Amino acid sequence: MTNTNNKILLEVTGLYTSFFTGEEIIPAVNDVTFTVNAGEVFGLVGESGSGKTVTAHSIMRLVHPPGRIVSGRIVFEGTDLLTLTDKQMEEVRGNRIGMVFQEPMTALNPVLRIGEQVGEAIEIHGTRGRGAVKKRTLELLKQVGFDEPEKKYIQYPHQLSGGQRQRVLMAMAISCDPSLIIADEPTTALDVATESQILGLIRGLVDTLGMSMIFITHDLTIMKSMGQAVGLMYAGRMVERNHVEDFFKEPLHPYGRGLLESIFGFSSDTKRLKAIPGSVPKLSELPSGCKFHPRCPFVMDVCRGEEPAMKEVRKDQWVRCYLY
Amino acid sequence: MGSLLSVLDLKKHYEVRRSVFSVAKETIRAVDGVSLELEAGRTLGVVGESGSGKSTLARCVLLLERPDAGEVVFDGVNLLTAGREEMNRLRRQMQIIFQDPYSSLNPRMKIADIIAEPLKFHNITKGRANVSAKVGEILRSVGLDEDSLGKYPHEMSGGQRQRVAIGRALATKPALIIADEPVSSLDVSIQAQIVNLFLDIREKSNISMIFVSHDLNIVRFLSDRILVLYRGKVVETGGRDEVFLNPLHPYTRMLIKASKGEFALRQEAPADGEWEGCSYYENCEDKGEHCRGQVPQLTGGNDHKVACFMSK
Repeated sequence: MTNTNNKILLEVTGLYTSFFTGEEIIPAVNDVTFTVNAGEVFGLVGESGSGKTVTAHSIMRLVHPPGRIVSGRIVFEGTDLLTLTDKQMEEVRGNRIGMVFQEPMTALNPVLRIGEQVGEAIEIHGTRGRGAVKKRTLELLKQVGFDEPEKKYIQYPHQLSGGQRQRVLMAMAISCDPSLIIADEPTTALDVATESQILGLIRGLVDTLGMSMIFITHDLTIMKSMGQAVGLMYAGRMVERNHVEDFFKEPLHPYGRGLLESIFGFSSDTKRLKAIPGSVPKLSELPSGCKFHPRCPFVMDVCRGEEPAMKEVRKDQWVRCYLY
Repeated sequence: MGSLLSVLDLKKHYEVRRSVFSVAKETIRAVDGVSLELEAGRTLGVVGESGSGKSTLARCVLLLERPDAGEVVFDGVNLLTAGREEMNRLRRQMQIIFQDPYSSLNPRMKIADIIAEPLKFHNITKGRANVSAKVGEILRSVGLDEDSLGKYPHEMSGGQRQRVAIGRALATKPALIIADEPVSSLDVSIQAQIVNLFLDIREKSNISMIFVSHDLNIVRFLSDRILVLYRGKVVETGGRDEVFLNPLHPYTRMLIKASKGEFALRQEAPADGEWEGCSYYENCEDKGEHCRGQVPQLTGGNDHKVACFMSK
C-alpha cells in the first residue's frame, strides 16, 4: 500500500561510515541510499554486523571516534543534517527525531521516578510550568497504554517489567511530537508475549500520530506486519530496497531469497531447510565484487569482478545484483 | 517402544531476596510440577519464553541442578537415588548442548582436544592413533574438515563452534541429547545450517532429543512431540501436529501467531498484584470468571493435554 503521492521525509544518499582503528579501516556502512516517506515505517533488516545500527547512528550523528561519517547526504525535512553544527543537531535530536533503544533498563535513570524522567524530556523541549508538565506526562503515559498513569508516575524503573520500561521509553520518544522515530531492535530483549504487545503499541502510535519510523531488526518475521518498505543490509551494503509485501512474496536479491527460505515459517519445504552456505564475512576481510558472491547459488564470473551498483528494477524496487 | 526418559512432578524452587535491602524472601517457582515422557528415537520440543523454566527443566533432568522434588527416570534408573558410579555410567548416555558455544568450549584447548576429551574421560577409545581417527570421523559427521583440528575456538565462527559443541556431545554416542536454545545466538543465515545438522543426526542414529527453544518455528521442524511451558508449568502438550494445527491454550495460540509475524494490536498493560489462579490470566484473551481463583490442571488424552478452563 504505497501511496505514490507520499512526501519524502528523510533521504539518505551514498552514505559511507567507517571505523579507523590503528591498523585498519573498517567500512561499516558502504554506499547506503534510501528514502523514508512521511507516515511510513521503513524496516532496516540484516544480520549482526550488517551495518543497520551504524546507519541509524549516522542519521542521528551519534557515530563516535574511531568511527566517522566519510561521505554522503542525509536530508531530513529539507536540511542536510551533515551540514548542521553540533548545537543545531541537538535541536533536531529529540525535537524532530526520537530514538528508542534495545535495552530499556540502561536507557532509564534508575534513581529517578518515571514521572520525573518523562517530565524532564518534556521540559527540555519547551513545555514549562509544573502543572502543564505533569498533565502532559500523564497524558503520554496513558497514550503508551498504562491504564493507571498516576500509579506509574511515582514508580522507579526497577519496579517495572521490561515491556513497561519500553513503553516509558516510547512515551519519552514521542513526547515532543517528532516526525521521525528510530527504533533499534526495541523488542529484542523482550519475551514473545510482551514483544507482541509492544509491536502492536508502536504500530498503533505511528498510525495515530502520523509519524514515520525507521525500524531496525534482525528478525524478518516481525517486519512482515510492521511496515511498508524494507531495506535489506549485508556486509555494510544495502542490497535490496522493496515494498514489504513484494519482498515477502518475491524477494529480489539472492540473499533475501536465501534468508526467507532459511526462516522456518516461510520456507516452502517442510522436511528440510534450505540453508545459505558459508558464513557472514568479516568487514575487514570482505571478498571482491559482490560481497555475497561466495555464498550465492547464482554466482557468475562478473560477480567476482566489480561490485554491482543499486539498480531500480520496478518503481521503488531496488537491488544490488547482476541478475537484473 | 518404552520410555527412555520419564520425568514425574519435577519441582525446582529458588528463594531470592525481594530486593538488595530487604530480608523478605520470595519463592521463584522455576519448575513447578512438570511431568514428561520421551521414547527412544523421538524428539520432544520444549517451548516457552524467557523465564518459563525451560532451561531449569533441562538442567534438572541432567541433574546439573538438583531438583527439589520429583523423579527423573532414565533407562529404568531413578537418577535422584542413583549412586555415583552408576551416575557416571549414565552421564555418558546423556549430553547437553548449550546456547552459547563460545562460553561452553574451553578457549585454551584446540578443537581436536575438545572432541577427544570425552572419548578419553569415558574410556571409549584407547590409543593415540585410534583417538585421532575417531576425532576426525566425528568432525566430518558434523560438517567440519581436518583444518579445524588445530584451531582454537576463537578462530572459528559461531556456527562452526556450535558444530564442535555438537560433535563433542555426540562423541560418547549418547542415547539422549538435550539442546538448550542451540541456534538462538547464531546469525539467521547460519541457524538453518545447524537445524539441518540436527535433522541429519536424527536420521542417522536412534538418538532421542529434547530441543529447548523460544522459537516455535524451529521446534516445529525438529520435534515429534511438543511441551509448552509457562511460568514453570506445562500449559499444553501433545503430538506436534495436534498442538500446531489445533492449539488449545491461548498462550500456545499467541506463540503460533507471533511465529508467523502477526501480533495483537492490544494496548493495555498487564495488571499488577498477586492472586491465586491461572498464571496466564493477565495476558489471556479468552479469560473467564473462574480463571481467577483456581489453578487449572493438565487434562485430556495422551495425544493432547491442556491446562485451561476455557478450552471446551
